[in-house]
Amino acid sequence: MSQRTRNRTTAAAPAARKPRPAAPAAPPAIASAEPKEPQEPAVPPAPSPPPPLPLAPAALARALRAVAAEIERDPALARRVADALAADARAAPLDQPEQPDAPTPAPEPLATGTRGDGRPDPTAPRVARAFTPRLITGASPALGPGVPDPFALHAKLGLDGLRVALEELRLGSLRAIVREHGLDPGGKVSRQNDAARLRELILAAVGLPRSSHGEGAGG
Amino acid sequence: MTAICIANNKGGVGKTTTAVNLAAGLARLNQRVLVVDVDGQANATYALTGRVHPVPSLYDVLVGERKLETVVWKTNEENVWLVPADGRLQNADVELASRPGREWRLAKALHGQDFDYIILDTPPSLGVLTQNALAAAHRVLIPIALTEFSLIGMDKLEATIEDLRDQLDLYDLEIAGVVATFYESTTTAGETWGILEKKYEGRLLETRVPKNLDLEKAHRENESILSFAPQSTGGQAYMSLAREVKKLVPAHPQPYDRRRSRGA
Repeated sequence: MSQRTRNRTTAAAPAARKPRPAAPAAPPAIASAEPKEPQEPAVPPAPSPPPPLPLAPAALARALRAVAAEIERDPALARRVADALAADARAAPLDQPEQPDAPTPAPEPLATGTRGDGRPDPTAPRVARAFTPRLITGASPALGPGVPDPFALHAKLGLDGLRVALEELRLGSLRAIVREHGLDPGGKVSRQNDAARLRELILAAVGLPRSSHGEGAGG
Repeated sequence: MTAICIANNKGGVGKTTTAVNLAAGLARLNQRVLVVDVDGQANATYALTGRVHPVPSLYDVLVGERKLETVVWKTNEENVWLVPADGRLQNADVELASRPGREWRLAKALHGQDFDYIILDTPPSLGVLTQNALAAAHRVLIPIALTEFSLIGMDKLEATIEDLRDQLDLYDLEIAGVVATFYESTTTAGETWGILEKKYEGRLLETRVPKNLDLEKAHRENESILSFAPQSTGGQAYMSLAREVKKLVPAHPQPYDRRRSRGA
């Protein structure tokens, strides 16, 4: 560091610290890897004050609204959440006794765009439903690198497992499998943008003895 | 072996689309092509393989000690191979910052590779990763979207290339050309094209890649536009671009050697 830079840095540091007010009791970190002191028991005795919330109520509400919006957009996510909640609901009576100090749940909010009686509210802003982006997680790492080998997958996962693995793959990967393993010599199916037919072709091919298709190059 | 870096510090100009489809076009011209995904967003990796953030990847080569040969994948495109990226690469700028010869790590890793072309897809920044890609390249291809903001920041990229050329003795690193993307028959696009023609006289490629929904659909299907919709306007444009690039930047017959005494 040059002398000039050092001077500038040291001169600026107190100025930057100056406006900072005396820190009030710091709120607890949202997530920390550091071990913490023993927590209050889950059901504290009545006289002790409730522990501070790890997240401000407004921030918590914003986060939950964001999650709710995502659930509305993504049916797969909605299903996963519903399954998880159903599982929790089934397990709860056995695992957790009801907590006396649990906060009273807020009344269920009205669905957006409805009035108190459930009928549509004409004054409510309309929510566009046409755009339904999905989360892309990509093909399973179990497929290994490069172009997947359906024969190896068949041997490893069985026909049903292979079927599930192929369902994850898009046109490009399916076409590559067919090409790499010479499953469509005339190229009739490969030329079409028809993933279902490519999957059928691959499944039919692995159901036959491998010698009839020659050795695959694999990825 | 000729290495072409697809670079522009602006995001959303079609760098990955150009890298993937140019590679596929060159492959259809009987060239063996290696795509190196130098972008931690790993979009080229997804577009060519359907995988999202696979491990190991280029990160393990640049930051770790893994040999590049161990992360060369076959892709969904015939004659196109890939060195994939994953999200950890986004931290590589910081992790490499204090290492000596940091700009040369990719060039050294690629040494001896025997393809006709290497296409380097870069992140929208001018950090250490992009510097690695530029140091590893023989030529730079700059995609520019024909939009209102396309010319902002271009001078910065050119200045970086100039700086690197001086700092690393990359005397033969040149801008091969500028390719216009997102072309539409609109007044704005026409005016921008006119400005580019003046600014990059002699270096603006003839091919104009149109705005074409099939290009996006092809990414979704994890293949190039030349496999998904070769007759689409996007498909025809990228085939034309491949011919133009092959003519402009012929593949060198020797294996890759980009090391310099300072970095090797």
